[in-house]
Amino acid sequence: MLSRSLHRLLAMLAFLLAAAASAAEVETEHLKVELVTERQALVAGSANWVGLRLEHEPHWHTYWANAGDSGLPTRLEWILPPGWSAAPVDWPAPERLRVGELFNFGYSGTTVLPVAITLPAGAADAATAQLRLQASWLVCREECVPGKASLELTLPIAAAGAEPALTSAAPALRAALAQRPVSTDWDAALSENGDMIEVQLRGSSLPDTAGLDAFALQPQILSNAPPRLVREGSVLKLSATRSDYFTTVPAALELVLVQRHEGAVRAWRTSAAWPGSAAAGTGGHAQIVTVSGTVSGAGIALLFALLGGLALNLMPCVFPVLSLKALGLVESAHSPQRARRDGFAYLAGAVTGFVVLAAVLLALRAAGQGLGWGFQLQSPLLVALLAYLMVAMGLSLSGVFVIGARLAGVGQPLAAGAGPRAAFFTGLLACVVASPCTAPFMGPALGYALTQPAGMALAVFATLGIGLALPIAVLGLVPALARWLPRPGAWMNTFKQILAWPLYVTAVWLVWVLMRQAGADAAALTLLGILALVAALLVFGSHQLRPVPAWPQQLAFGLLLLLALAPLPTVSSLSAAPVATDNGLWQAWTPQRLAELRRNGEPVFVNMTAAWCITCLANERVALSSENFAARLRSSGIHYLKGDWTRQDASISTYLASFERSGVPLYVVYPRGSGAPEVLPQLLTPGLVDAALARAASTPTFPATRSSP
Amino acid sequence: MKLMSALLAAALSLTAAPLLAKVEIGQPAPAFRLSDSNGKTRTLDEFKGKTVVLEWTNAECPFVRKHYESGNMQAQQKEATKAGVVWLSINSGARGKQGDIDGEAANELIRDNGSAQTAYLLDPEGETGRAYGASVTPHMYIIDGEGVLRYRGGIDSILSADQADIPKATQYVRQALAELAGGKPVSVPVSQPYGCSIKYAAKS
Repeated sequence: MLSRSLHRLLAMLAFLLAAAASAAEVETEHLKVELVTERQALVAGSANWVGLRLEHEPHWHTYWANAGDSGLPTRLEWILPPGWSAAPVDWPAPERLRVGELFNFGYSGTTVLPVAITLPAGAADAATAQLRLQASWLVCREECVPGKASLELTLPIAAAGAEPALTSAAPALRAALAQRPVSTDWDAALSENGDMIEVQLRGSSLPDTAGLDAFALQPQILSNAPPRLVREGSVLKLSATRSDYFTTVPAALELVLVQRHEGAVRAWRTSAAWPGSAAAGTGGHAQIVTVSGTVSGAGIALLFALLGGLALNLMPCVFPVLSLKALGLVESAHSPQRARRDGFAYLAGAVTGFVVLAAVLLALRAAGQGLGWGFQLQSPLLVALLAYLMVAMGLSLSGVFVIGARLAGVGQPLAAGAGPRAAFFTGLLACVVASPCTAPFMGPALGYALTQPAGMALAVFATLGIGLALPIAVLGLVPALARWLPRPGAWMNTFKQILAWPLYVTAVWLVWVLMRQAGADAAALTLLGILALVAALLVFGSHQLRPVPAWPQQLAFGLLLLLALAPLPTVSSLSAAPVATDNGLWQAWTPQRLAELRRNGEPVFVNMTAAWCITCLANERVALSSENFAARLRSSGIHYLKGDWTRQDASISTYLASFERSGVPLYVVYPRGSGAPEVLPQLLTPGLVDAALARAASTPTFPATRSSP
Repeated sequence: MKLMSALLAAALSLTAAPLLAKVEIGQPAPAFRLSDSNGKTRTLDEFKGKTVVLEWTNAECPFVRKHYESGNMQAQQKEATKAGVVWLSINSGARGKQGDIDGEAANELIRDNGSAQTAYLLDPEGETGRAYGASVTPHMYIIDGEGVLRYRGGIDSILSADQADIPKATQYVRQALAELAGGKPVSVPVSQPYGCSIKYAAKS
């Protein structure tokens, strides 16, 4: 009150005196404000720099155009003679002000908010004119005080083209002008990755990162914590988390870069167009969450099944089988009739495979077995047989033996030969081998399927088979496409030799899975069996070329084959020594342990995994094995429980089913206290895991059980 | 391909993690257990089945004063509680910071300004505030009867400390409560919160 009367008095005095540039100055709590001009008179017919000078008490600040987590931008409202116009505030480079855990953007010390005021050409008709400004602001240290002032300044008007003398405030105003961000012609490419927003800047005279900071001019786009700025050659990369209050996608993100280095302040501005504008943003973000959550609705489940099947074609476990098929196509491609027949047979094989597997699974579940998708690979016997199959097919491709009709009834020669029967069995084989590679969006679709009536469940699995077979089947069914394939020739032998190797690699992987399931002894026995199989096939291959079969070779082949199969009964009865159940970081999951921790309101991270689940292994490598992850668990007191579904475990199947899942991976975070658990997506990133763990840890606990001091 | 995008995300997430938690609309709201101004222990669970409004407050903050001195906040509290909604004012300021009050002072404050919240909760450790990611006063949240978060953000649409702006602003909390009562989805579930920063206790 007192200050306002004082200001009025001063303003009146200034008006009466009408001297050169007398300034209206007001001292409020923690802030002195003053209306200043660059020159002692305003020039008609041009833009004139004026400004609001802010002199903050030490430790106090006011705000930029985007105030950050709290606060308010300083607001200026001009009352001007008719015909005059005032531009918006030309904000100088802001500072990043940290208040506890929050970040604000603004100014401290002394600065000027510059404004360009344009006078009409006829303004010089009057000798003097009055500038009037209503300014309002919020000045804060930790606590805040709102302030406002009416400032007035009467100035002489100079004729157009004149250059009146500078005022004493001119250096401060010019210093502020020098700190305005300069516009750039940088190329700014914005991309989104989950909750991260990245902008790549390219162009001439990009600053280095010493003392560099970046600010979004618009609120509610980026989180207000400092972004990460990295210089990579000619590219300056900015990455920041999305604002918690991000609601609408802007046309472009307006960025201001500020460099405070060796006492100098430089600033730049650039604009990054938002890709896909309205389509992107929170809508798309929310969709990602839905996709990795549960899927409802038959149509969506079928669509995911189809997409999942298509994606399986790219999986490492399916690739060798597909390469076999591709080879078959090359051989039959130039007979459209045969190609079409084989295409259909392959499709039928894949669909049959999935439907039969699903029917077996449903029947077993109906009989009360707690099984889920991937159960095929939970049997060490089947894994060992698959390893044999891979080795045998590989040897055939390597030219060790030629496939004849003599071993009819065993899957391998059927699949590796030619003709519709082989195509059908290739489809079947693709389905068997593909099952562990549950692609990210297949999990929800299969979980949904298994909770549906049998007819619907089978439809989902059949669609999965169609998706898996589609790319190759289309090649066979559309002669125009098949014509693009190269003609058969001598190159095919080389091609076959090369294709053998993915099969050997798959065999190695299967033996490793077996080792995790049934232990080192089982793996060694299986490897011995594989050696016997190799010997058997070598013998078989060498006598194949003779015109008359010799009985000693036939006997040797038979004995070696028996020897190869001999370890299998033992393998299926072995089991791996339990892996350490407590290595300091995690403990083995049991329903009892989880229930006990939850009773005490402890935060828990549950990871359901299996050795044959490639998605699980990729996640462990990428997101669950870093030092940061371990540190987060330790510092937040989060318990890490790991459930291993490599072998059948009914309690894990039940747990998976409670989240409408029928397969791994499954990641669940239980918050401190009694809150509901959060299911994480099937594809993890370190940031995502860390954020989820932070959320879980920060949820309040009861005072009596507070864990941190 | 999967691995590549995961690695990319891994590289990106090396930036500083947010210090305050984030609560998502449509997700269960974090549970809490706090003493009210009368020393009684209050939990979110006890209000199951009722819509709950959380209002972060600090009586000395100019933005809070804007809505109390104009009577806007008390009017909305009365409307809400009359309609069976639970209104909890929460003070997450640390001991000794501006706006820090004990239960007795809070009760005096409630008497003086005629506020009509269901309870005034004291959170000097700031754990509840942090769990909700409350950054300013006033910062508003609405939780439905099932404990699911339906609104988070400012009390209204005009970011200012000026009482004159209140009639011009859209009152987001009032609007969301009306929509929830009518069984409709909340049309503005997230808005920019504005106000004074919450003076949290340094993290132990």
